[in-house]
Amino acid sequence: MSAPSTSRAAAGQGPAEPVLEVRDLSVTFGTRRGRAPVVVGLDLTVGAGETVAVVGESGSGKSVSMLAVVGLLPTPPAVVEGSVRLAGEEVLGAGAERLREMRGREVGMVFQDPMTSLNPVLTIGRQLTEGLEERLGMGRREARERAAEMLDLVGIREPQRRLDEYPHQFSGGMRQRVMIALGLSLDPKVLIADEPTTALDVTTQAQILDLVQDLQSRLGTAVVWVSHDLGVVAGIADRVLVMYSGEVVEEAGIDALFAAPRHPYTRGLLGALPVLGRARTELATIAGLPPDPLDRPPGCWFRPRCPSRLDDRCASMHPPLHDVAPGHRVRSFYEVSG
Amino acid sequence: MSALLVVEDLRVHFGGRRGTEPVKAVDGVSLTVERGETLGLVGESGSGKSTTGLALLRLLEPTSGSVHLDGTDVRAAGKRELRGLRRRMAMVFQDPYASLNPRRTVGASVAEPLEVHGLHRKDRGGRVRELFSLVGLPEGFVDRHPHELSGGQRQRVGIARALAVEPDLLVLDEPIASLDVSVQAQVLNLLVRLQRELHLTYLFVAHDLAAVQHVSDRVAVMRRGEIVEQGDAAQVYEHPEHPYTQALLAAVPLPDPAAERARRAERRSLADAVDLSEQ
Amino acid sequence: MTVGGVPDSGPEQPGADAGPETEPGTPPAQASQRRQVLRALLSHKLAVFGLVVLALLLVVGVFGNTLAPYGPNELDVPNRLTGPSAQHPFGTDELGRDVLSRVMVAARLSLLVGAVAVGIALTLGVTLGLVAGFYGRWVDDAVMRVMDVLFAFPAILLAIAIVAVLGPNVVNAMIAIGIVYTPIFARVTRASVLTVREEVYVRAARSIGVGDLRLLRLHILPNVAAPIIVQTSLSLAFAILSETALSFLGLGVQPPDPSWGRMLFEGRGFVQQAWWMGVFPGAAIFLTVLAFNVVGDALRDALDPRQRSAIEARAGVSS
Repeated sequence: MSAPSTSRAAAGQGPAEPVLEVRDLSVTFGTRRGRAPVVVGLDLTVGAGETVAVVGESGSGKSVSMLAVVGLLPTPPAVVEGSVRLAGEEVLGAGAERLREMRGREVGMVFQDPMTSLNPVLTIGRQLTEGLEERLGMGRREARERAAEMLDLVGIREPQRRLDEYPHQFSGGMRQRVMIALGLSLDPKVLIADEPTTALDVTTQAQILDLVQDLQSRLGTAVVWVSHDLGVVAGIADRVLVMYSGEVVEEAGIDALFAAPRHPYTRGLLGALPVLGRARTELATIAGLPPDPLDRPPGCWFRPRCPSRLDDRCASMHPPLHDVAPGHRVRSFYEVSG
Repeated sequence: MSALLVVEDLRVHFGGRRGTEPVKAVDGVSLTVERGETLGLVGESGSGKSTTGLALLRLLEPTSGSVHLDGTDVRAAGKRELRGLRRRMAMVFQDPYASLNPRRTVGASVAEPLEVHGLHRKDRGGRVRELFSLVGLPEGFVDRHPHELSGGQRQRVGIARALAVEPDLLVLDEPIASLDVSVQAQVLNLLVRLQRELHLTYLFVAHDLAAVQHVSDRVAVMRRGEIVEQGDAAQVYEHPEHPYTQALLAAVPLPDPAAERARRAERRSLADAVDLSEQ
Repeated sequence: MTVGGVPDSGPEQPGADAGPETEPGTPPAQASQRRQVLRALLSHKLAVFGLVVLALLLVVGVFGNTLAPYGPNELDVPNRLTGPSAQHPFGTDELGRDVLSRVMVAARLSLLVGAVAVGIALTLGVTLGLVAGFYGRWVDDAVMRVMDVLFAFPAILLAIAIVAVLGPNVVNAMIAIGIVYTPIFARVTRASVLTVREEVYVRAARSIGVGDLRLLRLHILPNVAAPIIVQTSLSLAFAILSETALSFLGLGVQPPDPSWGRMLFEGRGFVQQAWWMGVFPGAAIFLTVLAFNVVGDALRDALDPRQRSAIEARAGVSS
C-alpha cells in the first residue's frame, strides 16, 4: 500500500486536481403523486486527502446524492442530472461496466448498517480477497496476505485467524472496521462514508472516527462523511456542507461553521444539540418539519421554519448560494451574524 | 422515605436451560428514584439499561431482586394489583412508529389506557383532546393513523398515551434516539416542561450522554448488566470516578472542532486503560 | 425559540404559510387504507377479471333459481341429448334436462358449500392459531400436533373419510371440508401471531394494562388479518373443488339436486355423444376456481406493498 499513498500525499501538497467534483447534481424521483426533486443543484468539490462532511436531517437528500454520485440509484424511478467527475472522469452517463470498474478502485463506499452490507454466508477473508483477486489480478496467496494486512490496518487483532471467520462472529464495531477495510482495499482516491457510525456505540464510534483519521493521514485518501450529527463531524472534517430539503444551505470550513454559522438552519441545528457541560437551559428548537419535496413553499424553502426572516424577498424569491467570507457560502438573503 | 422507586439487587437472566450459560442481561442493579426527580440510566448497547426499564414494569419478568413502587412490591403483585400498578407507572418507547398499533387511530391508542382502567367514562374524547393539546399535537390528528404522522409527532402520541392515566413514574426508554436532531430538541423540551407541570418522576434510559445530562438530576452508568457509577449528575459528568465512565465521556463527540482535536489524544490513552475490546 | 415545538396560529409564527392546525411539512392525511387496497386491487387486470367472474357467480348463486330458464329437474325427454341451441344454450342431458339451468342452480349449492365450509375452517382455524401462537409452549405444541395430523392426510381422502362416517349429504360435506381446511388457517394465523406478538405496540399495550383477551381482539387479530384474508380466498377455491370431488363420488350433494361434480359424473358416460354435459359444468368449475385463486393472489399483492411501504415509512426512507 505504500507506493500509491506517498505519491498521493505528495500530490496533495500542491494545487491538486479535485478527486471528486460534483456540479449541479439533481435527483428527481417519479412518484404516484408527481415528480419529486429530492436533490437540487448540489455542488461539491473534494480535494485529494481532504475530508468533507455532508450534514443534514431526514429529507435533506444527503444519502440520495451520494448514491447518485456512485451510480447506485436505480434509474427509473430516479432521474439524475448534472455532472459528477471522479478523478477527472465523468460518472453520470458512464456505462454500467465502467461504473463497476470505478467502484472500489476510484471510489470506496462504507454504508451505515454493517450487518446488511456484508454477505453472511461468506467468510470475511473471502469478501476481502474477492475484490483483490478479481480487480487487481492478485493470486490467492498474495490476496490473502494483503487482506490480513488490511485487517491489521483497521485495528483487528489476530487478522490471520479472523480471515476465516464469518460476519456474525464479529461485533458491530468490528464489522464496520471490516467495511472500512473493504472500502479501502482497492486503494481508492476517495472514500464515501454514509452514516457509518450511527448504529454504533459511542465508544466504538470514537474509535472508528479516530481510525478513519489515522488511515487518511497514512493513505492520503479523501473522505466524504455523510452524517446527521454535527458533533461527529466536528472532529474529523476539514469542510462541511449543510443540506436542507435537497439543497446546500451553507458551506464552510469546519472552524468557521462552528464558530460563526450564518444560516438560520445551521444555527438551529447547533442550538438544538444538548452539549456536555453546557447549562441545562431550554434547547433551541426548529419548529415544524422539512417540506414535502412535492410541495415546497415559494421563495426560500426554509422560510416557514425560520425564526429570523429579515428580508422581504424570502417569501417570493429563492435565495442563491453566495459568499459571505472566503470559503464560506450561505443560501440566504441576509446574514445572521453574531 | 420519599423515594418513589426502590430497586434492590435486580437480576434478569435469560436462557440457561440444558446446561448453557444464561445471559445475564441485568446482574445486580440497585437504584432509587426520588419523587419529582429524573434519574438518567446510561449505557451502551448490551449494558442492560433497556432490560432494566422493562423489568421494572414487569414487561419482562425479573429473575430475582426487588422492585418497590411507593412501598408496593411490584414483583409480588397479582394480576389485579399489577393492573393497578400499571396506572402508576408508564413507559415511553424508543421507536415511535413500532410502539403504536398501525391499525388504530392515534386517538384510539391514546384513549386505550382510559378504556382499560375505566376512566373518564363521561368524556373520554375530551380527555384525549386535552392530552393531545398537552403534548402539543393539533386536535385534528385524533383520527389519523400512525403512518400519517412524522416521527416527532408519533413520539408525542406515545407520551400522551403514557400520561393518560396520570402515572407517578414515567420510564422513558431511549425516547429520542429515533428522531432527527431538531426534533429531539423539541421532545426534550416537552419532557422537561411536562415534568414540571405535572410533577412527574422520570427514569430516563438512554445512550446519548449529552441528552441525559440535559434532563437528569442524578445519573447511573451501566455496563454489562451492572451499575458502575451512580450519583449526582453534575458530579458524575464533571468528576467521573470509574474508568468506564471516563472513557464514555471522553468518547462523546463535542460540536467544537478544536476541542475534538485535543481530545483525540486523551481518548487514546483512556482506551488503553479500559479494555474496550470486542468493540 | 419555540417551546414544545408546534406552532399555533399565535405570535411564534407570524404569517405562517402552514395552516394553524398543521406543522409545515406534516405528511398529508392519506386515503383510508381500504381505499388504497381497493385501488391496488383494481389496477391488476387479471384481478378485475377474477372479480367480474366472482360477481357473476354471486348473482347466479343468489338468483339462480329465478334466472334459470328451466327448472333444474324439468324433463324434456323428446329433446334429450341435444346439443347447444337457441332454446338450450348448454344443451340437454340424458333426461332432457337443460344443462344451463342445472349449471346455474348447481352454482348456488357449490358456493354455499364452499362458503360454509370455509366459514367453519376460518372460525376454528383462526381461533386455534391465535391461541397456539399467543400462548405458545405446550398449548402451541398440543394444537399444532393435532393440526399436523390432519395435514398429513390428502385433503380429499380425509373429506371422504369424514363424510363416510357422518353420512353422505350436503351438510356433512360442509363439515368435512371445513375440518379439512382448518389446519391451514391455523398455521397461517399462528405464523402471523408469532411475529405480531413480538411487536413493540403489543408490549406498549401491555404496559398500559391491556389484558390478554383485549390484546388478542384489538391488537393482534387486526394485524394478522391480511394473510387470513388471502387464505380465505384461496381456500374457497379449494373448498369448491373439494365439494366437486365429493359430489362426483356421490358423497356430497345428493341427486336430484344438481351439482357440478355430479354433472361431471353423469357426463362421463356420454363423452362422445353429448360432450356438453361434462364440458360446461367443467368449465364452470375451472372458471370459479381460477377466479378465486387470481383474486387471492391479487389480494396478497394489494395488501403487501402497503405493508411494504409502511415498513419503509417506519425505517425512515433515508435521504
